Amino acid sequence: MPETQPASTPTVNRRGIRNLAVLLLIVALAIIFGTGVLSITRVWDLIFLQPILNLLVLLSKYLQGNFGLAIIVLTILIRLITLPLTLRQLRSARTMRSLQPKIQELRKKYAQDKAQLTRELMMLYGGQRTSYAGCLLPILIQLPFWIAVYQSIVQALAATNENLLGLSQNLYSWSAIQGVLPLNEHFIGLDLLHGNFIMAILVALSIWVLQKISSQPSTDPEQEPMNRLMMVIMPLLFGFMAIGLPSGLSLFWIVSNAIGILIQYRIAGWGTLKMPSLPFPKAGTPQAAHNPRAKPEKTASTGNKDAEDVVSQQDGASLGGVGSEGKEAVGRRTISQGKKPRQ
Amino acid sequence: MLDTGRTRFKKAILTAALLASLILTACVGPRGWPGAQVADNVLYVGTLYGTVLALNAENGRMYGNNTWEWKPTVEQGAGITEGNVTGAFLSCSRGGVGQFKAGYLYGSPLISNGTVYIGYHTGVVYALDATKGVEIWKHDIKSNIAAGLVFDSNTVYVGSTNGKVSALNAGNGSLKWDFTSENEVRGAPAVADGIVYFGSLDHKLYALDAIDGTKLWAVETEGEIASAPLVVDGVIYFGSFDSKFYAIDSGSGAIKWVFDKAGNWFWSRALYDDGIVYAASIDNRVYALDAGNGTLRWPEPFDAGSPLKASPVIASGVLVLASKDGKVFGLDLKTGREKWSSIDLGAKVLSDLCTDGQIIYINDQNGRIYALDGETGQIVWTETLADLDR
Repeated sequence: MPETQPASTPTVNRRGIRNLAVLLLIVALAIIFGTGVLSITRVWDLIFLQPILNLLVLLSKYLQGNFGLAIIVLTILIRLITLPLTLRQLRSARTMRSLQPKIQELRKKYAQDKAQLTRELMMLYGGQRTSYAGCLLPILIQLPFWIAVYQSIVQALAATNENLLGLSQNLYSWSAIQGVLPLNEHFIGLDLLHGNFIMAILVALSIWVLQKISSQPSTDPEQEPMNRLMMVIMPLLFGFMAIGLPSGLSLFWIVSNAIGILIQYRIAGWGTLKMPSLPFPKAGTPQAAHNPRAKPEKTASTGNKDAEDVVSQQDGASLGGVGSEGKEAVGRRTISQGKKPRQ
Repeated sequence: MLDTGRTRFKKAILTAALLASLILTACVGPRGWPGAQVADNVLYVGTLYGTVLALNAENGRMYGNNTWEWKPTVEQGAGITEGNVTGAFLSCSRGGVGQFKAGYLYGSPLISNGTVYIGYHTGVVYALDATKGVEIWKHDIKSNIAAGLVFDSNTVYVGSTNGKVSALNAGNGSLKWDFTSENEVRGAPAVADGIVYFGSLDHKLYALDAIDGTKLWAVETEGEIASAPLVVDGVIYFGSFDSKFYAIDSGSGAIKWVFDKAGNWFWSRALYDDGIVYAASIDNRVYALDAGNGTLRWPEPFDAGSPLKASPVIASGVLVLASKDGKVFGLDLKTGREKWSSIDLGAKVLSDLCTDGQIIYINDQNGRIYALDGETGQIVWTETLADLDR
């Protein structure tokens, strides 16, 4: 069981430096945007839209003009790029999971004193080097990729003159990109520019499966209704949005989720998803000892940083798709084997 | 906490809210870039609201002879309906659907023989009585129209995004013939000496027999073509999305010269005056090229600081151009130097300019129209183009 550590002076210093850096960054951004040196739109285009858009166009060129394949390859690349973020999310989730008993204890202890409870919780989070932001930030950081992919698909296929004009402003002047346009919006009978009901259903289904496979049965009966609700809301929400959004974005989500499901299964099994036994065993089962793909148990019990990172890296690979949520299984296994969280 | 259902709920809501809001923020729906045309002291202008107005060209008001306002009746099943008729969730950034009830316009009204012709993005071409604003006929080409129309010999020519150029009988709107290219047509055609010229996104410029639409020849460039060709003295001038500007022999399709020093696409229609071709580019610059050999005639191209999508005009001996960021420039035709200080309209300008030879009319993307004196650059009048439903 992890123990709460009081914040040390070096920790405070690090936090102070970090806060100062954030403050300076905010001031710098305020000056840049406030003086009109750069517009937010311009920065967005430079950082997110243009790289993804040009990569899509370039991939299309080298994939025989197949825009659908280009989206699939782009999805894989983005999941690789966002891997460090998902690793951070995993670490935070795992640590937070390990804190649950302590949190419950504090809640009971300070049930009548909310202020003290908050202070104790903050101290607990600080001691464990984790925070809400640490868990939510990766999700927030993934959002721009979704938006940029959406914009790239719409702009690259240029259904309107406005999109075409926008494309002229965002394409790099690389010779490799010249002459590639116009792109083919059809992919295995699918119009990538317009919404498709079947794709929307697949989006919803993939999110539901990913949620089920990523989560573990709750130990708190009070949470069960909320968990069940979320299992329904998220797939419905994204499925509904997918109806009106380009099918290319749905393709991106489906492929991303499919990769997440596969990796999650390889790492932690089926989660709360009840499935018939498959020929290849899931990680952590006795059969896994004979499965070269299964995660070795020793990495979770060596008690050193490197070993823990191996676990994190493998688990983190399952994140990044729409609706990837609980990663409790790994955290629980690590904790149950006596691994103390890093301080 | 993070792994509880409550926190998961918060995360999900936050994620969904941010996703939806950002997508909606990023969702800049098509508005069109309607232009204007002036004839007999009446200014015919398309609006961002899909209406067509006939205004008094002297003051921009709707009083006096032959002024009127008109909008099409949006009917289910007629053309590709737009706006709230078939609007779909989050679909505002894609074709076929817009937020305006009447549909939007990418070209200028075409005036000929007392009739106004206008092509909507819905795919419907209308002929209106120029004096009363009453519909004479309409023809649904069942595709999107993304550019202006051209009139010649009692025929209206229109390009569309299904790759076709259609020839319509100007008297009753019936289809004479159509020709299909290999990709979308997003530029207006041009007609000269019985030949129809048009560019397609399939990278080719086509020459068709105006009588029956038979293909005479086609010349291929390295990029999409969305600019309207300019035909002068047997030479076709046009730009391409390969950032090159071409001069083609109109008879054979042979390339006479190519200008390849631009940094971005050519989209607007070029201008010709006294042996010089003026080509405005999305790379912010306008190039003055020798019509004979394509060499630069100004010491250096004029840089407008913003993409030049709107086709320029020549009024009172001044080359007038408007950039995407809303600045209007008046340039000396021979030197490229500014004849008067630039004007900032404060709104995007994407619609082609029009002129009666002295006054320039500019439609901006904020729904205002400006009348400028070409010689001095002074704003003569300005009006807001109202939505009929407001």
